[in-house]
Amino acid sequence: MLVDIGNALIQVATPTMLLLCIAGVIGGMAVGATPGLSATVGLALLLPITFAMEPTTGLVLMGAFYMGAIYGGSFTAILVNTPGTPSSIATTFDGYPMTQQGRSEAAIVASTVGSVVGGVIGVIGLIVLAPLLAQVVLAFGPQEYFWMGVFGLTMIAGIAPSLIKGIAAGFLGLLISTIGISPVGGEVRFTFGITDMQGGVPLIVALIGLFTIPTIVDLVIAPESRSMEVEADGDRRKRGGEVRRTVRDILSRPVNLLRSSAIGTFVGILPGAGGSIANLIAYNEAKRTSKRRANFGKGEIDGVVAPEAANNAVVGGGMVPLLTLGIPGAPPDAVIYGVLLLHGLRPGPELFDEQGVLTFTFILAVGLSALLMAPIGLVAGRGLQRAVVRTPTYYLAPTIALLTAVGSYAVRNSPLDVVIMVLLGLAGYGLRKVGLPPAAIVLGVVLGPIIETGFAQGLLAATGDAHPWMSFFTRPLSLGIIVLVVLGLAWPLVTARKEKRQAEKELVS
Amino acid sequence: MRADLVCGGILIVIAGTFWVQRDTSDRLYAAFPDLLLVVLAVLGVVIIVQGLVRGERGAGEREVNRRMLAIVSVLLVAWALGMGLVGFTISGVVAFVIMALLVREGRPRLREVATDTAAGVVIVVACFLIFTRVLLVPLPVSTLIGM
Amino acid sequence: MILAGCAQQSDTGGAAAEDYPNKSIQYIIPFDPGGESDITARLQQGPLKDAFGESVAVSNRPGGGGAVGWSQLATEAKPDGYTLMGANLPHIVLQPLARDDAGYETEEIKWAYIFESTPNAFVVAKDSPYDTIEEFVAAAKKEKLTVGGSSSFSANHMGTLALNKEAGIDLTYVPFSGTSAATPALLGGQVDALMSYNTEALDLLDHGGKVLAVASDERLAELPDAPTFKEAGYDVTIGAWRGVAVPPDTPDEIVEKVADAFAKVNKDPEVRSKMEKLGFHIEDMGPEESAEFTADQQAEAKDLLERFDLLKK
Repeated sequence: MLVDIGNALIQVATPTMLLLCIAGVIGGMAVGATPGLSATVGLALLLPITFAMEPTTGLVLMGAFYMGAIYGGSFTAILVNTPGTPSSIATTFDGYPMTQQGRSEAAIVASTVGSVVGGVIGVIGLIVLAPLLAQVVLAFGPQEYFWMGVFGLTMIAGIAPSLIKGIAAGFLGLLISTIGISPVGGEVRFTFGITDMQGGVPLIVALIGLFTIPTIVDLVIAPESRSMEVEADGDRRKRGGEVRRTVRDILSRPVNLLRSSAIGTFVGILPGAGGSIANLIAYNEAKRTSKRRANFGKGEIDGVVAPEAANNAVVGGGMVPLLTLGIPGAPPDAVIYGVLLLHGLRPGPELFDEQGVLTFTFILAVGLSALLMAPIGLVAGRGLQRAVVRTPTYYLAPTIALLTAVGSYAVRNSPLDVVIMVLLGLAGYGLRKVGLPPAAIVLGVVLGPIIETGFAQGLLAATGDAHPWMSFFTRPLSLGIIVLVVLGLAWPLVTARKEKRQAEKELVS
Repeated sequence: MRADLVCGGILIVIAGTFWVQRDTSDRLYAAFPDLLLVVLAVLGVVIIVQGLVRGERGAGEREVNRRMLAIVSVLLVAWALGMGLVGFTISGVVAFVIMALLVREGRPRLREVATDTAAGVVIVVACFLIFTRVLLVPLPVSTLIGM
Repeated sequence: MILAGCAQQSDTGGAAAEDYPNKSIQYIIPFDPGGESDITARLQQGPLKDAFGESVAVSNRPGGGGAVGWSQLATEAKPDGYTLMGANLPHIVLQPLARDDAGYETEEIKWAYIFESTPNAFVVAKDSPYDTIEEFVAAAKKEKLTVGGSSSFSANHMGTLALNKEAGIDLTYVPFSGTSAATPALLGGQVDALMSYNTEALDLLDHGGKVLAVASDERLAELPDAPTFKEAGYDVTIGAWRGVAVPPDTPDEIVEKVADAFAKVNKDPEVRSKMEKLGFHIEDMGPEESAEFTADQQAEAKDLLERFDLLKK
């Protein structure tokens, strides 16, 4: 294996590979930053190009593209509150407030640092732990996925000002996710007589609508709200040194980076979870353990670092089940799986033994791509940031609207999706006014399929037991996650009490 | 309080609308959505009761320009519908210009309309070309101008 | 449907059959990018361009397990041969049978060509106590056993039902979101067996899986040691077929031209070798043969669904 890695290093260090990685990262970033075009769509577009390539070059290009696309999704999340891919949902929570405060450059730098570190750690996890981690995949059954989804729901406590309304919003999201064909059983639900609603509401469409439409409405109704964004950004730019300051600041809290990357790697390994969940969990954990908890949601830089580190770590993590078991860990991995098969490469132990050089060249190139995102991202990301900040609001608002329209259309090439997107977005705007946070709704849409699928599959798979539902409480791993759920629920209460006591003490003294 | 009443009301209405649509053919597959609907309705009631008990608390929401909000909402919905009806470019340019003028506020001057139209055409057409030619997304086109 | 109006996804113009094709052709896949149908289409794209002499654009219109795309093909798309859509069996048979409103009828899917297939394969894990299908069936008569597979109302689902019927057993079918999504459930012991496809069975062999039976008429070249269900006395021959369809009113001359193009692509050695590497069996069924085959499948499926009370009410 070590010999193979050595040979792979020599292969990766050639100018051709370097150019391929650069091209892949740039292309990926462009596609990722476009709302509606996910990493998977971009990879599918690349597919015909790679048919003509050698297996190694084709795979390297795709790996670099995948890495870049996940990173690129953060740009629009930060700058215009539109996650470019579902992997950057949580990035909007603090990234966009930073933009509104004129700190978008720092947010872009934070996303870059997080993405590079996360990407590299994910790849290290892939090389060092692949065979070991593959066993984790097998231990996770439907029951565990169910509980993991429930664990994700406990995040609501953190993002909603009122717990009960937060829960209501989360359940609304879960309800949206049940529209269309049921994931288990193939039943058609809640189509309201519209045939096309069989397909349900895609996550990206809900995401674009709920996050971006309110942003557009705000920009049009109150264009003056952007004044701070523009002025403060100008002031900071005059001062200079923003990049160095921000990088130093983030690196001074390495635990956040490492924890988020570890979460991303682990969630990536689980097929059926992926970046859309990893970024949310990492954000929540960062918030829960941070000393600056109160600042989260109001432009906390660690709130940008955490999800971005996690989602790029998913890239490496997701390749663990792909390369060892032939199970794509995340949707984009399915395309890479196809490329492997097309070249007659069957995932499994022999991929590492007989095709070791090729496999490690691919893996190392993915890691190299993560590193390359630093220089490329700092130039392209900050360029985009400058362009957005300098665009007058009367052009920025309609341009965002145009991109959301075309983006929601492109998800399934469906004009109906554009209408759904706008209606959901306007509804979200109204619901926000009565206290139902759109972020909690999105959380429900993300987690709904996992929870429902795990629930129904768990019951079916345990039909042999006397009480099938008992299997949700008897499996050791399930119990472990249940403990996490309880902790997740109790934690906000505990800290709230602690803070209250602290405040009282201060008041007395 | 008003926000709570509206919020609770909305939840109950949504739960009710979906309840009518639900399919009762199989218990296992209906369990999850049924549970969601019940919880939503209950939460709606709780929020209403909470609002009534708590009474008015002067959490003064920032007043929004309702007229503007209505105009933007109509514009966005019309844009979404128009994309399927008259194609991406025509709906795009028209909506782009209207929105730009809305943001500029005040009575539109001829020069502004001209520059905004020019900007709209450039941005929309560029977007159209990138999506249809490079990314191969078959955007809806108008039969009149073919794009 | 209402939204279609005067806007079209592709250029318009009623071209006559003689000069077909004279402009770019849309080849729509009603599934997500990156799936098996999608990869096949992108594989065919280049050779199709040569066969038609016009460019072919592959795009996706996923939703409802393909139903959203097929209802569009059946009701909205222009029957001029410039809109082709991937179509799958048994999906187009089962959806109209099982759903209240699939948005199309099986008869409205007009085949141009069926080009590949994947037969079902029945697999158990390495440490499973069963070494033959007979042993598995015997055990299933005594206790409740579970079988995982890819999605509901799929070839895997029908295969399980057919086995239940033929062997007089009551296996519980556990649907997963895709072929490879079910694999960890087998390796991790969540389900007792998988009703999967030959493609996945090959992967599972690498992990010590045991292929107890394949659901084809004869043994498969890539799995020579696996007996057919028929050898064990169970008449289970079910798999998934992929092809290309056109809107229902498309003139026959154009359908023939489309069929010729796909037949030509199927002979392309490069395409053949890649399809085989993906584990697909190459099929060559023209428009009539495909339609007859579909009718047979429909009768069989109807019988099976009726027996298990899964027909729409």
